[in-house]
Amino acid sequence: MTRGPDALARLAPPDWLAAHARSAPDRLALVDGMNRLSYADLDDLVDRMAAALAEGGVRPGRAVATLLPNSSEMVVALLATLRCGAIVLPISPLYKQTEIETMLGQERPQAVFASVDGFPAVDSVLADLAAPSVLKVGVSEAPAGWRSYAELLQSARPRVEARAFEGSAPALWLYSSGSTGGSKRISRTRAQISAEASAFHATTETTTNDVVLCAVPLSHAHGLANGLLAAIYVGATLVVHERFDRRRFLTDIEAERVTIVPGSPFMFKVLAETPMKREPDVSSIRLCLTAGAPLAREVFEACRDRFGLSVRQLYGTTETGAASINLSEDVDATWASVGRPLRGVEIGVFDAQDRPLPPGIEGAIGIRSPAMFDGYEIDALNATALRRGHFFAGDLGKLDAEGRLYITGRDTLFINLSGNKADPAEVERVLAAHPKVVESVVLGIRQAGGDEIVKAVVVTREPMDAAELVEFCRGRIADFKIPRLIEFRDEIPRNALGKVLRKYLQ
Amino acid sequence: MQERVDAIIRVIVTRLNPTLDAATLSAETRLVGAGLTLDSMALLELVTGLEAELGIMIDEGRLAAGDFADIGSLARFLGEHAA
Repeated sequence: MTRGPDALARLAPPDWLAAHARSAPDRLALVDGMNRLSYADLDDLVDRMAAALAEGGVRPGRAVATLLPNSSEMVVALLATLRCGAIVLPISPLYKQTEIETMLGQERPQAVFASVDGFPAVDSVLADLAAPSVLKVGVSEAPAGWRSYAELLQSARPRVEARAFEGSAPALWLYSSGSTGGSKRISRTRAQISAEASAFHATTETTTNDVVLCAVPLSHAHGLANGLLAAIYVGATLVVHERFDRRRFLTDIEAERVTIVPGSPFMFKVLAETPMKREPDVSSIRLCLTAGAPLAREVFEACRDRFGLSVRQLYGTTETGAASINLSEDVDATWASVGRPLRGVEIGVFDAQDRPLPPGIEGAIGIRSPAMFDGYEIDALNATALRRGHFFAGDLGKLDAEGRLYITGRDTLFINLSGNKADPAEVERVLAAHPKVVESVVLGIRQAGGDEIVKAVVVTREPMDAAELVEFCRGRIADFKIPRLIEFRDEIPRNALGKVLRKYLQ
Repeated sequence: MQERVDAIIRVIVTRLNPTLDAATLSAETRLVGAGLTLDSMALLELVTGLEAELGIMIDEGRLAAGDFADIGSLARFLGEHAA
């Protein structure tokens, strides 16, 4: 039986895969280097891995963590987890031991997938947690105590019948620094991620002919939803790149006849600047999406001038999924907008008393979506972030007369590093742990082009070298969060009420 | 060699960190780790900036970790490999 996309919206990602495997088994589902998998191939691998996870003790409602770069193994691990009724817990491979410890310690997953770079951190964290029964799956190799991904697939006995799980069951746990401070879990259900994929399909009119090239991490909400789930939902082809290799990216656009490119402003900036021996044919592309950070005019113009492509901004949050996208026909005039809401999503701009504001007036952006989470576990956070049935991420913006949204700023201190968010408080806590540090203030310095870098202003007990502090941070937080600029001062400037005067620290 | 060192310093100051004083940078300045603490994205930005600045093509796939150790080692790589 062939199911139309509307019927798929009531199902979960592994069921979309199974439906496409039945209706179009030979259609190309996934390209990972030389590895090309049809929908039937991918469905079979997911079935086998789901059986292996179940045999290994993974139960519905429990988490399975992945510490993997984009790869066919990552795709299989994610979909197999959902097929078992378990919860996907993607951890960025950029994260270091302390960050991994927080997530594994809080979530106690029943299985962990990792590649060679992740083995030491996972082993060390699980030993500290005294969690010997966790199934550890090693991709590409398997040291002592680990099961090999390839052998698990070979030995697994696929189940005869797939189980159905409630739409209200949690499916995805992503960690976000978010807008309200502290690293926290964002839980979304099977029905919520299906609603996001359905809305993306209905809004962008994806078809089985689309080819999505994804180098943005599948461990991040953008890559997961607008790469993997967008492609698998409709039965399109997903091409994954382990990391952003700019020349391979451009040659693969031509070789695979790529139609949709989810990216970031940084990626599009680099692509527009990259010299090639032969100019690639990128005429197959119909949609370049950027998310995670503001698009600068020079990046939009550089891509248009070099490739004839309009980079379009997508706006979303980990809590709500994709909320709006700029599909305007007159994108030259509206490039700075993140567009109109996806189908089924409402976006409003509100004043300080949560009253809706008319077009043209700046206020707090609120999102209401069938794809959004039910709330944080901590009520105090919900009181700030969930009001009037809308989610407030801390972004400021305004609507134009046609309902297009423009982001004008953030009312939080978070540092946006090309889509990776750094919480200044987290970096300050790490610096404070150094015995010579009295106090510090961490802030973002905006660069030409829109990106930010991390700066730390530090007061110390005795003279010290910036290099010593940087070395201290290494391994405690992801490299992208380590201050690139460290300034030593005798004291932190404060106003009469003791509030830090951040403007004097820029 | 000095010409390439100067180009790297120019790109670092203009594109990566305008708050830096070029006079404090030299061939011995470390790029990763203690030093400028450039992460993988910043290094890619540096590479594309150098391509534009010097009118060359750099295959970052051939760059080993040691080539990014300091400004001098990156300048030597450019002298040997940039086309």
